[in-house]
Amino acid sequence: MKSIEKSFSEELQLRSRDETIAPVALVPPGRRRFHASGGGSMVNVYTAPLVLSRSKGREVVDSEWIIVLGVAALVAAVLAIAVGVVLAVCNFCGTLGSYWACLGTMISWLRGGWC
Amino acid sequence: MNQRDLFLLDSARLSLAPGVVVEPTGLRDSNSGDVCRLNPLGRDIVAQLETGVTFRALIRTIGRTYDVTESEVRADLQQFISNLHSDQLLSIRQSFLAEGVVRIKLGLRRLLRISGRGRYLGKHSPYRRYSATPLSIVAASLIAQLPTAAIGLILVVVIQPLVFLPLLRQGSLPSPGMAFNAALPLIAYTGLLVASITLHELIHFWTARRLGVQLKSVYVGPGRIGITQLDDGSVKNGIVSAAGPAGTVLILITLAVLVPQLHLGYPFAGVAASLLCIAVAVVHFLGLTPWTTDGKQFWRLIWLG
Repeated sequence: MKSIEKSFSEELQLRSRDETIAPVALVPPGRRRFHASGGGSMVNVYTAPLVLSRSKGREVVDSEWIIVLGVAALVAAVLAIAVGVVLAVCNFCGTLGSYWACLGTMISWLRGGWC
Repeated sequence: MNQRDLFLLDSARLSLAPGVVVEPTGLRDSNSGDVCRLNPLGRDIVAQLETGVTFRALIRTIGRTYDVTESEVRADLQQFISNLHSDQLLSIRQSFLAEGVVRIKLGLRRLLRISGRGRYLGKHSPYRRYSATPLSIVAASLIAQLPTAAIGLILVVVIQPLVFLPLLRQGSLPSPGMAFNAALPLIAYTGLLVASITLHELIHFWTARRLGVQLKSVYVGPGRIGITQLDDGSVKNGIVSAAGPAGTVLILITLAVLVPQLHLGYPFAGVAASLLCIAVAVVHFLGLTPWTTDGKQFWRLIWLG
């Protein structure tokens, strides 16, 4: 893995690009330090990682399936639950073979009865 | 704050998107030809992304090297990574479950007005990116729909007391067979939804191949999957986008018509299967509306036509 420590020349390049250099007051032990001529002391000057420029090649198009369609998915899920209830109740009561018998079972079930 | 800011967890694993290479000045996308020039720290970071690195490891490495607070590095990195991600140069692998848990926690904190450290700056889920191959499309569809499957499973459990309420009131418990029968439509619905989304994406892929449209990558987020195609400035992109939802709706409607004729045992079973196909077809049909990326392309195609 490449070290992210910067060389002195890189630091100089940074400064020549007029990027913001944060002032550093305290230097914890063990940190790299270099001395500029004329006195004063600087440590690895931190400059936020930045995208300096972008050159666009070909445009791209996204084809996306997204559950923004959540409302539809929710409606469909409720429908699935309703179908599940009908199937389970009518199957239990043995009335799945006939639409009208199953309907009667469901009316009875909705009224709190059973079969 | 940038609207594209990502909801990045410390455990998120960052790497370069397929086709993206590190160059002395920054990054280059070999598919689209995009070039991104970075400052020295940016270049050092992307060099680490070649092999993959977690967000936490990046923050620590920078914190050890520079005299800067963790919160400052976190905010800067968040912004930098969000920028590269929105330019489709990164692939970020973040656990859906962990993200869901943290989002719920933050939501509860907000609801209960408990103040905490503002650690997660963004709101958008990061995407994983894969090369566009049939196998990766199938895998990506399954990964993207893990939350859908989880919700389906929760509903399967929730439905049980609802179905068997009269029986429970009598003090009896349903047999495992009865419980399975009650859960079957939901299992079928969830399975059909996941399968149809895979089909939807494969139709995009197949159409792109047939029309010679170059695909860049497949991307995946929680409940979200997409294919990025290179714009060739013709109507072909619109056809590729519209083909996914349109083809899936056609197949599902055909199934809805054919399934009741299969005599699945009970008259109701056929009707139920048909209803499920229509329900899923409705979900895909919305993909042709102007509120979705596919739909936008479709309407652009109609407009140009």
